[in-house]
Amino acid sequence: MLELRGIRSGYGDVTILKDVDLTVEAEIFAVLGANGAGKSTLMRTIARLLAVEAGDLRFRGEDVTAVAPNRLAEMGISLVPQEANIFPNLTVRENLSLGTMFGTRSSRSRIDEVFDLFPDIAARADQKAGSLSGGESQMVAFGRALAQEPRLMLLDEPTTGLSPKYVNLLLEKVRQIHDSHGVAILLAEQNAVKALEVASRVLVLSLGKVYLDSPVSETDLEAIQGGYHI
Amino acid sequence: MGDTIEVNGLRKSYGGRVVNEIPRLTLSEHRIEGLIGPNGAGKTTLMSLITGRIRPDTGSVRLLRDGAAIEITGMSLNRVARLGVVRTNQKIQDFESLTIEDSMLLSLATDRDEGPGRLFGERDFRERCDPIIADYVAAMKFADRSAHALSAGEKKLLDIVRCLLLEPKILLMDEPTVGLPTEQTDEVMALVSRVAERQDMKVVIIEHDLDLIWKVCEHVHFMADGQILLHGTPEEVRTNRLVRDKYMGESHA
Repeated sequence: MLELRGIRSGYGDVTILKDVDLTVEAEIFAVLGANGAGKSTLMRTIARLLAVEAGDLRFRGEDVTAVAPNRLAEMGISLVPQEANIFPNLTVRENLSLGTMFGTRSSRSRIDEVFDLFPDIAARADQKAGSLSGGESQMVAFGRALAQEPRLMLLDEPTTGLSPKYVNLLLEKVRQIHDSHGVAILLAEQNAVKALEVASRVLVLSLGKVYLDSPVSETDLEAIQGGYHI
Repeated sequence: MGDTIEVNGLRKSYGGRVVNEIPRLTLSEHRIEGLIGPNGAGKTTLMSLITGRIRPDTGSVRLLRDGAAIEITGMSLNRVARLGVVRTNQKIQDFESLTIEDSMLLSLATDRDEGPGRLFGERDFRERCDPIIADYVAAMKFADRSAHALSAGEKKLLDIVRCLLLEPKILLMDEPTVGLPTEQTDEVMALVSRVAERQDMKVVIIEHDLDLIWKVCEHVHFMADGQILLHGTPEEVRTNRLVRDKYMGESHA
């Protein structure tokens, strides 16, 4: 579904990702690594929010190395970024409706589905999103990405700021949408144990390079931790 | 006993939604306390009310020090910080144009060091601060102090260090583990505990990482729907049915 070949990218003069190769099928792929390993840079590069310095990016067989982010969203890639993830001056419902611009099912049914998942934000549907707490904002960001009917979800630490109850709910939902709709998921997480509970494959980045790319069933925690201590 | 914070009749609402309604609360009676609760409970708002980031609709916040009560209700953020009540941020706040070292120097600068052309131009200021910065760079494992903090985790660590460098009497930490791997979380909390002991500093932590709360806190406050519903030892709070039902879900029960 998604292929990266020799990808280099970063911020200005600083190159973060160095020759990253990656193939993602319809699976849940945990993306792990220490601070600064390049997890968020990988997500932002795939979503085309960062320019590709070198290499090729293909989605469903199509070369998307230079495709605009909005076109990628239309093609079925949705991103839940780590920060600055909602429009504070729009209501919760309006934020979610932005996620329904593409896709086939009615906007209403998709928004209702998000509200069923997160009753806390349903109660605040008509409030400005800027008045929400950090955790509630995260629910809106995830809900909006979900409402997009994506084929590939890029989740950059989606459980950030969520209470324990919602961490489990969200990860269960991730598993459900993969199982029922074949959606591919790239899940960057600090909580490796939680991520590995739902993932079938794991990528460990270290200093911008691929340290490990392996099925979860064939990987032990010690091998993963090796990528954190380089 | 050190400083404590006393809240009386505090109320804050946004557009008809009451986000804080706290008749009475004393914070930081213990060295390290936890403040936990579901998303939207009003925890961050309470910290913002204490540190002067926002003003309450009604009620007061007082800093109790050496038998005296200092009214800090509605006081500006910088004045509250100068009194020794400092807060780390839930969302990353970073001086993106400053290097890690310069960002730390900013916290170390006193009134005497500030002023056009003086802050970063003075060799003796840098020399004086060098060992302090070196200690924190080593403790937080920053690879290069002359580089910028790029990842969310590095920015988070830098935010915490900047606050510690202010030598607060009460440090309020809003979700300090967000963006950090578990191992690093342990290191950060060990460092904060050491500083708390050394500098007679109190710490109040907002956190959803309950393992951390149970491990490092001596006392825990539980908040939901804008109200403080329960206080107690970690064990008392952890085993309370209300906390389990409203907050923890099955995995932590």
